[in-house]
Order: sequence, then structure tokens, then C-alpha cells
Amino acid sequence: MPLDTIVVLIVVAGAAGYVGRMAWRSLAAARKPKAGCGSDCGCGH
Amino acid sequence: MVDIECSGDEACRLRALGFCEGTAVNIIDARDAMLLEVRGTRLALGSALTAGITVQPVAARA
Amino acid sequence: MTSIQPARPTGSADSGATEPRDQLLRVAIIGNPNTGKTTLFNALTGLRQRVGNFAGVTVERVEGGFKGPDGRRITVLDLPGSYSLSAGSPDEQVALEVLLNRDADHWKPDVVLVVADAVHLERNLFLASQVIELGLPVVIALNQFDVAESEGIAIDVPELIHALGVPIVPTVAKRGEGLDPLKKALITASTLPAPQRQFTLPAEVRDALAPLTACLTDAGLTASAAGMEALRLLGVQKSEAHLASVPRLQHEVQDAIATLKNRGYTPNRLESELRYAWIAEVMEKTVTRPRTIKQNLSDRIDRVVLHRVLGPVIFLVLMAVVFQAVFSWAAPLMDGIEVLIGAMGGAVGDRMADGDLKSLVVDGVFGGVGSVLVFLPQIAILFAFITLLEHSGYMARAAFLMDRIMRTVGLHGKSFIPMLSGYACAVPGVMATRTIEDPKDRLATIMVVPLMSCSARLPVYTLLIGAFVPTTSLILGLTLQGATMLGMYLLGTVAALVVAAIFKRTLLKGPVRPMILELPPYRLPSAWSLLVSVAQRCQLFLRRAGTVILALSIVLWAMATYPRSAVDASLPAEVQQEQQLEHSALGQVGRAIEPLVRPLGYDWKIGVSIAASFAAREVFVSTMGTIYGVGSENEAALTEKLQTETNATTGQRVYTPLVAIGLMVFYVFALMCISTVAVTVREAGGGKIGWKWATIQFAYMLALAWGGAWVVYAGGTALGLGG
Repeated sequence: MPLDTIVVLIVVAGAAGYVGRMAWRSLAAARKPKAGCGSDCGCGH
Repeated sequence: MVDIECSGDEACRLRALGFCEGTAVNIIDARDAMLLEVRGTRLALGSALTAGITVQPVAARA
Repeated sequence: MTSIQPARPTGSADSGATEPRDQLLRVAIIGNPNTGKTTLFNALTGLRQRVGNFAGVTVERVEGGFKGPDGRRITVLDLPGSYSLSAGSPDEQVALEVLLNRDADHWKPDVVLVVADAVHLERNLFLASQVIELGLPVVIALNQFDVAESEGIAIDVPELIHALGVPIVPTVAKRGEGLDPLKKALITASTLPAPQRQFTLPAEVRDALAPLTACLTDAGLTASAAGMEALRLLGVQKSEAHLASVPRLQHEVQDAIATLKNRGYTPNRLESELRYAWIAEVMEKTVTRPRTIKQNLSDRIDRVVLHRVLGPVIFLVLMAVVFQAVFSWAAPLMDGIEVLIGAMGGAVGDRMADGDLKSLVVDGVFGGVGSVLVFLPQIAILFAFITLLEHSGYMARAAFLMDRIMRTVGLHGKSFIPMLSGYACAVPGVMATRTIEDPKDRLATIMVVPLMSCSARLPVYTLLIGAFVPTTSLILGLTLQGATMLGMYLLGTVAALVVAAIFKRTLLKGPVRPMILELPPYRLPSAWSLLVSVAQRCQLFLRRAGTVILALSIVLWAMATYPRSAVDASLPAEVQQEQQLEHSALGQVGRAIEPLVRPLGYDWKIGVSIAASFAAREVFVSTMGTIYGVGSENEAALTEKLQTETNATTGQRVYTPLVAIGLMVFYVFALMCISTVAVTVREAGGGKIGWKWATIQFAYMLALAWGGAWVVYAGGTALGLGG
């Protein structure tokens, strides 16, 4: 596989992982009232 | 300020603000909602509350 | 400014044997709302803050830290703003629990810092007097001292210290003045004996309260705190969580009440009467306040601003100005950013070999994130206005004006401020509902806050308005574009009111609670703090763009590029690209969704962008950017592409003004933000009940969105407005 394609794969996998983790974190945080907001609200507005 | 008649929570808060029977207040505007000043704090009170408040004029202070 | 403290007891703390220098000092901060408590907290802790929740409740918990002048580590817990320790709302309940050391976390404060507003000292002393009786060392920060001075209020601080028996430090938090003496005072206070009640109860009252006080000390409270609670409980109607385990408590309270009544007192106002009588004495000795020009000016402004007719008119005009400004002032800046990003993307692309990586960088990253970054100026301007209105004091008046309207839907003016915050972002708006005491009102407000068009919808509106609404001038500088923007915002607002009314009439039926709102005097906001707030908000926006949106853009790019399919090389490049897109993962999702969105007049590309933006609305723009390959410098800007895009089969324009408006309406109503869902779940009660309400919220908003868009499109087409 050419280098380019490998780089693309890594980047995309990383991005997908990040998105998944963000989604999981905000929804999981919602389950227990004890969890925090602050920087991981994900909203950032 | 003569009499306050309202349910528990609001009365509690009003008292914490220094708003109780016998207090002198300064009315800025009175319609169905009331705008007044008590002990240096400016308050806006909703109409449901103001219905239960009776105020008597007092000699103006300087 | 110096602070003076009560004389230290001689010969004690300097032995040095068990130097508490290395021990963590815990400080709890409490104060009335609007005293600058948060500013002081921020000034002390900088950005070293941790945000969370108090255990078991949905009250926000902010803790920060700093190093004292002697090198000692100090951690500060910001307790919610309260007028008194009587637990009216969950906020105040939590504060009381922490201070009595009966909270679930068992975070025991070593020192309590009371932030008092020098301008409203009398009222602030109520809370201070309660806190002084807790049996903990207390320091008072007399904040906004500069404002008091400028209004001619003279406070004799040494005399006040003498009267209260606690160290007092004048501060000006927003300028950072008084912080060092304050820090020193906190450390010193921890070594001093705890202060005590400075007035005496009439003997009859003391006797009547004795059994109740004993009951409380038996339950574990210190003698001093028991005394405070006993007095406080006389005026409290309901049982409180932190005292639920005290045996015979209600019985003792009732007894005390009965005894006092027999002796001619009115128990439920006793605390207020006694404390304020003492406070009046103290004020007499220490404070001189003329009736200032500023207060009169505020009153006079209020007579106009809160006028029955003029008030709402002024409000609407202000709103129109804001929206027009957001639209037109930002335009040149946005164009600039667009050019800059286009050039950067082009320059980078030129250095890369053709291929997937180049496409990822140019189309995915620059195209995706770039199209969102363009909106930074708008966000900045919108937020600057909102902050300006807040700091000047106008917001409270707006809440008052809105009270009338809110009342007709069954809420009250207090719901307005969370809703207004929703114009920036629904997440803080939903959290701001904590100030609403009635749980049904609170829930109803939470349900409708996301309908207030948040700043994430701005890119969508701007894109569509910019492409399809002409710039015809209406009146006085207001253009059709600005008016359309205003219209979208109004639509959301009206919908919020209607939905709230429905909720309050059905699922959340309850009485209309009366409103008590404090109106701070008008104030010229400091340009500096305004700048800081806006800068903070911009930073958050950029961070979000650089992380979530970047990641989503990359993922979407991948979905739009793969799987690759074999295309007929004889077809023109544009058509080739289109076919590739159709067969990619994204394209297939889009095709699958298409039947759902066709009645709304959309093709599968829009359908896909909508689906993608359920995670974050701005992604609509970046997805469109990616789909239309706007990242490279050879392509026209997204706007042009949208205007010229034609449907391959029918030959007609895909995007017409009608479609654009319908699409905007969809975005006005739809809930497309994971963060909002998350915070709703939490604020609605967490767990099952939280999810139930969040689901209801999502479902009704989606129904509204689809329905609204359909009405616009189908209705408009039927009326011949399409095309």
C-alpha cells in the first residue's frame, strides 16, 4: 500500500475514534448526575 | 408595607431580602407587576405576588 | 486597600511544631447573586478550575485552587449564589449542606469566604450573619467596593469588622484589587477561633428555642450552628434533606413555634425581624449612603424601558439591531476569512501529489473545517451583544418585560433568561434553569430552550440566506436578509412559547408561580471584561472547530470518498465526481434517506447533510462543503455552487428560495446536538426519567421540523411560489 493511503487510513481511523469517544462520553455523562460538564460538554459554545 | 400573604417559599425569599411586615419600601412603579426598592435592593415582583401585598403610604423621607 | 483583623490570641499559633503550612486549606465561597462572586472566584483561581456536580443532585459544582502567599495550597469551592441559607431551591440546599458538613461528599470547609456587595450591604448582611453563626472561621470580601465609592457610599470598614467580629477585606474583583490581602486573611482566619452571633436573642426566644437547639446539637451540629438552624427553621415550611435524619425534629420545631406564638411572637418572621433589626443597627454605625444620582438615573431609565408600551417596543428594536448587526457587520470579516482559507487550502494542495491524501487535506479538512471557521465573526458579534446586554443590567428588565408573555403560557419571567442564553447555546441555557424553583416550570423551560436558535444554527441560516435571499433594503438599514434572520429567530421563540404552553397544559400542569426578580442598577459594562468574555467564547468555538468538527469532517470525507467505484472515464470530470459521490458510503446513506426528505423538496445530498448534522449543526455547512468539493481553489464558493446546482434528471434548480426557507425552518425546529441531549438528560433528573424527557424533547422537535419544512415547501409549491 502506498504511503499516502496508509496515512489517510490512520487519520480517518483516528478521527472516527475521536468522534465515537466524544459521543460516548457525553451520553454516558448524562446517565449519572454526578458526572461533570466543563470542557467535555462537547458543545464548546 | 403592611401585610404579606403568600405561600411558603416566596415568603421565605422575600424575608431574606428584608421584605417583611412593617418594612419601609420605595415604590418605583406599580401596575399589575410591581417595581420597588427595599433596603437598597431593587425588586420586580410578579402580579400574583403583588396581589397579596398591601402598602400604606408613609411620610416621605428626605 | 488594607484589611484589619481582630487581634490574634496571644502566644498560640507561633510554636511551629505542627505547622499547617503543608496542609490543604479548604475555602468555601458563598454570597448573594450579582455580587461578583464568580468574578472573584475566577480572579483567585484563574483557569485552574474543575467543574462537576454535587453528589446526588444536578447542581453544578466548581472547585478551583491557588497557592497562598506562604506557598500553601488552597482549594476553593464555589457554592451557588443564595440570599439566605434557607433552602428554597436545590442550589441553596446544597450550599447549606456543605456548610453544615452534612453534604454527601463530606467536603469540610476550613474557612468560609462570604462575598458581599458593598453597594447592597444591608441585604448581603443577612446571609453573612447566618454564616457567621456556623461555627467556622469566616472572612468577608466586600466586593464592588469601587462602585460603592463612586456612588458615594461610605463604609467604615474597621467599625464593621468590630461589629461583625470577622476579618473584612474590601475588593474589586474585576480589577483584581484586594486579592493579596484577601488571600492572607483566609490563611490567618483558619487559625483564629470561629466567630459567633453578635446580637443576643430576647430571653423568651432563647428559652423557647432551647429544646430545639438541644435536639440539633444531639444530632451532631455544633452549638453555634444549632443556634442558627433553630432560628432559621422557624420560618421553613417543609422538611429538609440534610436534617431528615434528626429524630423528633419536626416535633421540636412545632413546639417552639407554638411556644413563641403564645408569647406573642410571629415565628415565621422572627429570624428576619431579629437579624434585620441587628443589621439596621450595624448599618447605622458603619455606612452612610446618599440617594445617588445613579440610582435615580436607573429609576428614570426603568420608567421608560419598563413602560407598558414603550418597553416591548424598545426590546424588539434592540433585538432587530442585534440581528441586523450580526448579519451585516460580520460580512466583510467573513469574506476575508473565506479568502484566507481558500488561499491556504490552495497553497497546501499545490504542494501535494494528487491522490487521496491531497483530497483529505484539501476537501476534507480545509473544506470541512474551513466552512465552519468562516462563521467566527458572527459568533463573536452575537455573543458580544448578549454579554453587553447582560452586563449593563438590561437582561433583568427584559425578563421583567417578558414576564407578562411568559405568564400567558404558564411560565414566568425567570424562564426568560435561560431561554435567552439558548440563543448562544442551549447547553448553558438548560443549565441556567436551575434558578427556577418550581420543578414543573423548570422542566417545561428545559423542554423548549433548544428551540431558541442557538449560535450553531447561524452558519446554516447565513449560508442559505446569503445564497437565496436578496439584499433588498427594507427600512432604516434593515435589509431583507437581516429581516429573514430575525424571522427565523422569532419563529423559534414563538414556537418555544407555544410548546411551553402546551406542556404546561398537559404533561406538566401546575400553578403559575409568582416571580421575584432583582433588578441591578444600570451599569456601563467594562470594555475589558466584555472583550475577555468574547475572546473566551471565540476560543471555545475554535476549539470545537479544531476537534469535534475536524474529526467529523474527516469521517464524513471518508464516507464521501469510499468506497470508490469504477466510473466511465469518458464522462466529464464533474459528472464523474458526482457518480463517485453517489456510490460512496455517504451517498448510499443519502439515497436511503431520500424518500424521507423528498416531500420537503430536498435531494439526497441535502438529506445526507441533514443526517450528518444531527451530531452538530455546523456540520451541515461543512458536509455541504465536502460534498461540493469546495476545499480546493478551483471550485467556486459554496454559495455559488448552491445557486447553480441543477438536478440531473429534471434539469431544474435543486435549491430554490422556497427550498432554502423550508430548510431553514427545519433547522429552526430540529434538535441536532448531542450535547443538548446529554445536558437535558442530566438536568431533567438523570437516569431513566432524564432519558424519558430527552426523548420526548427530541421527538417533538423532529416532528415539528419535518412538519414545518413540509408546510413551507408543499404549501409554497401549491401557492405557486416554488421554482
